[in-house]
Amino acid sequence: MKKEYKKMIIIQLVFLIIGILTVIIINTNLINFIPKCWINEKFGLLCTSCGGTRCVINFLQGNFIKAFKYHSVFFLIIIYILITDIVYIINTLTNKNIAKWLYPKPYYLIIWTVILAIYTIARNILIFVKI
Amino acid sequence: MENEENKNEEIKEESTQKKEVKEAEIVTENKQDKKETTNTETKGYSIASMVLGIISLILCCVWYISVPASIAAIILGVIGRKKAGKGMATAGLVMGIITLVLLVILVIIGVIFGVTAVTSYLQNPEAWEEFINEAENISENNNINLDLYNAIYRR
Repeated sequence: MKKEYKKMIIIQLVFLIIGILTVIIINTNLINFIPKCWINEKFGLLCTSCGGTRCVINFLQGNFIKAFKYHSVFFLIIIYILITDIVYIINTLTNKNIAKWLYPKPYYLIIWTVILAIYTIARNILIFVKI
Repeated sequence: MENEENKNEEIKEESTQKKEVKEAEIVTENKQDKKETTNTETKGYSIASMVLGIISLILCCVWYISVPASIAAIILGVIGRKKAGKGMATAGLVMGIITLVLLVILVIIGVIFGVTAVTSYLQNPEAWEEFINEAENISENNNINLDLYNAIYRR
């Protein structure tokens, strides 16, 4: 088997395992063991991943609008990963180079981090300021 | 006889030359192996820095994981930038710094703007029910966007 196909299969298996674990944690009592946000408990503010669990739960249930409202950045990251994965599978199977700019690079992480930081500060301000 | 001796000498010279060539090849192979091992070894710092940066950012809620992870990401990022995998090391370093700065900002905002008063009120379940029932009056007094607050805090 070609190296590229092996790499693709390994990546898909990793995503599959993560997906199965997520479904198991959500549908069992294991979700109660996810630690609570101390910033939320002490100060009533929202940290970077507050709402992330609810976003994933609603995404898996098909409530995409609710998932977007709970955590917009996580929702966009999930969509980005899905699209990139589909593009990667198509490129590997058809031996083409379609939209290779989507493939993750280290500076994409920096961009996502900055977006997440701005989003965190903005939604904390929005809660306590009447629009 | 002389021809045979000359031939023997030629054969000996050839064999010594072949030995020297083989030794030189072995030396260059060893050097290449060392280079490859050093590249894969030193890239580990960059990869570890990036992974710890992601963990610290996502688990920002859990301070006993995010703070050590972000500090480790910063240290490993600084080391990794001097070796291989500069991009990943930079990403890990930036994520660690942003996580720490965000935590400090959120704590300062929470303390300065007196949000503790709101949360201590809300942690009392009876007060929580009163807060929901008297939503309009409280939202007007405290300038809270109640729809957004309920959407986020109520499951």
